[in-house]
Amino acid sequence: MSQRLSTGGLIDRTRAMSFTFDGKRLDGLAGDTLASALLANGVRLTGRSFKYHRPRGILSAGPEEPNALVEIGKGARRDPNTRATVAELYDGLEATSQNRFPSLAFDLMAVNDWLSPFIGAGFYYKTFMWPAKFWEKVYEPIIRRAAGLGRLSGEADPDPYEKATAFCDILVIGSGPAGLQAALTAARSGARVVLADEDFAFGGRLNAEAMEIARTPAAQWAQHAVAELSAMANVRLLPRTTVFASYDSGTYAALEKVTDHMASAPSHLPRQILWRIVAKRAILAAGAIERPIAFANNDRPGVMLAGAVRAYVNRWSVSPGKSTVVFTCNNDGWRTARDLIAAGCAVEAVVDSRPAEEISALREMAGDVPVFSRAKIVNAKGGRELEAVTILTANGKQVTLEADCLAVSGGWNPAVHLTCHRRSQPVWNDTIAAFVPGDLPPGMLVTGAANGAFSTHSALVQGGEAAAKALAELGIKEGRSAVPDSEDAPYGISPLWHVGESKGRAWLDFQNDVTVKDVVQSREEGFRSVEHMKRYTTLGMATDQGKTSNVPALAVMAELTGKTIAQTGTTIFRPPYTPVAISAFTGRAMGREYRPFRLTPSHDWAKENGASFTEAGLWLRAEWYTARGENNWRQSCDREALAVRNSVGVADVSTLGKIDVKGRDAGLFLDRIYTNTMSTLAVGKVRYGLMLREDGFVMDDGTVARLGENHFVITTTTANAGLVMQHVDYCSQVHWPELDVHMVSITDRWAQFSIAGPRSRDVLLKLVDKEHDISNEAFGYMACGGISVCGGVPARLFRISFSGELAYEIAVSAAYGDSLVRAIMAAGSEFAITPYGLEALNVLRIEKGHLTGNELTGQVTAADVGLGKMVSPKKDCIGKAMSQRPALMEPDRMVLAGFRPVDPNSALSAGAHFIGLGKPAVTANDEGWMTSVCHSPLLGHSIGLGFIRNGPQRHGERVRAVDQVRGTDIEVEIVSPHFHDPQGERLRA
Amino acid sequence: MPDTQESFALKARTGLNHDHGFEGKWEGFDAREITGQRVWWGSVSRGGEAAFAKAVDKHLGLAAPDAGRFAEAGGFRLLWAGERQFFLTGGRDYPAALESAAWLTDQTDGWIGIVVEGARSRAVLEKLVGIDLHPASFPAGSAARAPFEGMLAVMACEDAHAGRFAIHFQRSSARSFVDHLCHAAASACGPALSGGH
Repeated sequence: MSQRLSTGGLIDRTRAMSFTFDGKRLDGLAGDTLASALLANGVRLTGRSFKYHRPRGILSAGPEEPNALVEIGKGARRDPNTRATVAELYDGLEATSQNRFPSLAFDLMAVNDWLSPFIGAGFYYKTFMWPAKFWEKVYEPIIRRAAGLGRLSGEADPDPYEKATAFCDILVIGSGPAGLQAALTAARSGARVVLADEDFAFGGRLNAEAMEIARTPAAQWAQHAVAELSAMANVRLLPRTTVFASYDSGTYAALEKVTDHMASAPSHLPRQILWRIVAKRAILAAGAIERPIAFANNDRPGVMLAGAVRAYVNRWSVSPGKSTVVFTCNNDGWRTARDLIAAGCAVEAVVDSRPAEEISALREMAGDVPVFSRAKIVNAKGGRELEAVTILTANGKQVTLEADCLAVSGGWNPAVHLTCHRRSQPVWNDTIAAFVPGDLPPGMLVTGAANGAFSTHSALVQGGEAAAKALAELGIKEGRSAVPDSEDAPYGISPLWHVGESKGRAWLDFQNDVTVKDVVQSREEGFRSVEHMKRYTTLGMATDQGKTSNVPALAVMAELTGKTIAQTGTTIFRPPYTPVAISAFTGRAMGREYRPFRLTPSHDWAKENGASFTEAGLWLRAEWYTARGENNWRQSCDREALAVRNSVGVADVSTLGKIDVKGRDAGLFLDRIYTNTMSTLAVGKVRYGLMLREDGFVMDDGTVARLGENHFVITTTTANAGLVMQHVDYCSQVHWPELDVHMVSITDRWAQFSIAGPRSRDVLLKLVDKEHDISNEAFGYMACGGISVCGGVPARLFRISFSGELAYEIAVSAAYGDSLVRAIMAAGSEFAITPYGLEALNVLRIEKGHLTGNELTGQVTAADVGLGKMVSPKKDCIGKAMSQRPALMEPDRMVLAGFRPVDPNSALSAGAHFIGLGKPAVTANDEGWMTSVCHSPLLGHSIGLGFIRNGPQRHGERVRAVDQVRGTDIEVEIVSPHFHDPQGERLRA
Repeated sequence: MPDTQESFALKARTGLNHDHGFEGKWEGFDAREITGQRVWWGSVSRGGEAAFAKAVDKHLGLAAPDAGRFAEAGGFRLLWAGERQFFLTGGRDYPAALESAAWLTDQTDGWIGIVVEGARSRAVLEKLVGIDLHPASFPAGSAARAPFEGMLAVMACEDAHAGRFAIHFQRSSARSFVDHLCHAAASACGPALSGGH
């Protein structure tokens, strides 16, 4: 039966919408939330409680909702734990109840409610301790299956998310009367204003109340205000946007739900945007959250917050019940009775815990409805929905009234959460019996109900004042913004936290099934601090973070301990204010966009030629090039490596870090950075260099080329390019600012290719312009210089070799990279030039005994890698002193060596540890480990590099390479790390 | 006939490997790759600031920019890029005499430029870069180095009213950069009207 009222509300009656709940088709209207639409359809039972699986209905009309959590959507788009009260209805919405089996109406797990005497607070900690091994295999799986709320889809989130940054003078959080007045005042004064509200309709409580501002309906006044703001160029309106966190320096995090309310979202729009809002001032006008009163069975579906009942009647034109009783301890609850009566809804009684003399002025709001003063509700009767309430009257009698809706108002708590994210503590205010903001974080002002100003008039006044203060602090002249007329009724609260006379379980935290009895038990067992109570009982956890339960629970604890609420204090509010999907935090950083990617100049060409790519830092580098007929990478790799050994190959090495170093002191600077001397390097020459960290371990290696008297180019490994740039920049600016040295990364500037192999010079001769002599005599090993290629294109040529073959690296401006590699291939075609990737590069360098990151682990010294002689005794350098610490000079350190399997058919594996023959493979016998291995197509068997104690002195000795991960145990011989051309004759050819 | 060096003539490609540069158009937002531009990174020796200011005045005809600003004249733009560092762009080589006052490194082709423009340009860029581009905070003539979705970028406001910004970024990440730019443009302005990707 429809509970929709015939008139009123802010819904669009001309736009019907169809949706389903647990598969049942229902109808709603544009402007509904899922909660209002469910109530309009007479749906009272919306969920099951977390632990006891008690039937639960809609409690609130906002983000504080603890009960009506549903799954929305299906498949990968299924969103669990969605609060029906903030889910905007759209045509085709599919909602499903959660945490029940097999159905919401008949939930087998409701047996837990019968077991409640045995599974109260803390039972986990006491019950599941023995036997210890049962925890992981038995207890935890069962508890996890029984507990929990919604189900994750288990699939990747298919929707796009974004991040964005906004800047403003004044951020106004919340668009109730205080927020709108603040925004109007600030915007009319010319300030840059951002107004954010979590609701899809601006106006806050003004949309939920039957009142007037400036003699117009409050909701209409709000619409006018929003229309004025939206027409101003200096204002950004962010509806559907929850400001969920406050950080240092006026930075706020906000989540905008862009397409959540759309049945079918345009593909170009993100589902949600995570905003970083940088505000010079923020005005928190987040309103207040009503709190319930604890009494027996106060969790029955149909027991609702009084303000929520009013919101459903006034905003959504829905009567939450057929007959309602109002239970209040403050004046605000009476408005609910008044508005229900005005809407034609039946009100059975108003029950007020205050004495008759305190409420006499309110009686006319209830018309002819019976009023019980100094009375309390002691029980809510019913099963899957409320059927009746029992009233304890002033004279001690109990009266039972039939009702299917109970509107409860235990007072209002200012929404102080954002004021606490930077560790400010709220303070107790006896007048309104609530916590109000304490010391505010820099740049934040609080106004309206969030500041404890509960009348509309006071909220409007405070909103204007907050804006004026912010404007003054920013030096912006305040424009005129008069405060419009509005109600200024007293609040008149006499706090009532729980009904002591009530028999039975009285709920404080609906979401976590925490009762007054649980808090009593917590106190009895010594968990009296609110922080301890929270963890012992689980109160205030999960999606609602105790928005309706924290204050009543700590009030109960205060009563029990004989302290005041102020002395008892609150738990700490931390971000986020409301749940935020992990996807929103990732933004676009998913899949291919997980992080930026970098492409080499020859990327397109490599792709055309069958390259498989791998990530090297941010770079995508060719691993190998699959040729026709090849069906595994080893075939490609072996072919490429042999081509380099036998003829010529080409590889893109643009990814190596390149740093231009200039200045009058450039040579001196490099002497201090590298272990070896660079200032003596002749112009036109290259030298291999090693740099240490401050702690004496090897940081990186590379080459230094001197292109001019005061001009060097240094290269780094691909992985360490950023690190080395940072290091040299730091050294220049901090250690030796007096040196005239200037550095800039030129990695992207140059497309650089290695042309390696005995025919490499032949290929180059066809490309290098004739005026440049690149013969062995004129351009010997480790030469470098500027040349031109292909008819005048400027280039740089370096005769350096990582492969151990005659080799060159040629660099041209990056724009020519694609073209140059094609030219190299064309020029080398008569020599069967072969492109080679990282795998072949690795084979070639292991055969030659050259180092990469596998060996330069950050834990090895220059001596460990066999380069101790490169640490010049004639000069100092970064890390030299620390590299001479006794522990780093010990004679039995693990030092680089080569390894070959005794059985050439055995394949070595990197990571294997060296154990002496006949010894057990335990840590005590560990002599080192294998760092790099490959199959050498040149030698026809597996080879490896690794660190082993006294490696250079043990060539010819045999040990075992034990890999306990892969389950191999291979006898290997320790050999020189230089498997190929140890004298270096080929690269000097 | 034997190959000659000239027979392997090289052809330059733009940063986005287009022959003529990238272009995209959305409702209220245009993006166009800058082509044919020379780029240099420069650094001034400590104590050489005055000589540098004098040199750029004499040889480029412009005043050395203050922090966070750029200056332009005669086809050159000099952009402040840090203490005693600058970013110089132009359509031709800089006068060699400038080298007497600064250490210059050619970065042409290493840094790619894009000009974005339109009423929605700030709405697009706020999804990508965390600096305040409002005309009051970043007026015409402003310059900044800023991370752009994790990539280093150099931004300059050419015309605050038209929402025109020049953005330079590193060549290797150009496609990643443009992926993000196009996505943000579509998000803020709707699907591309032409170009994009």
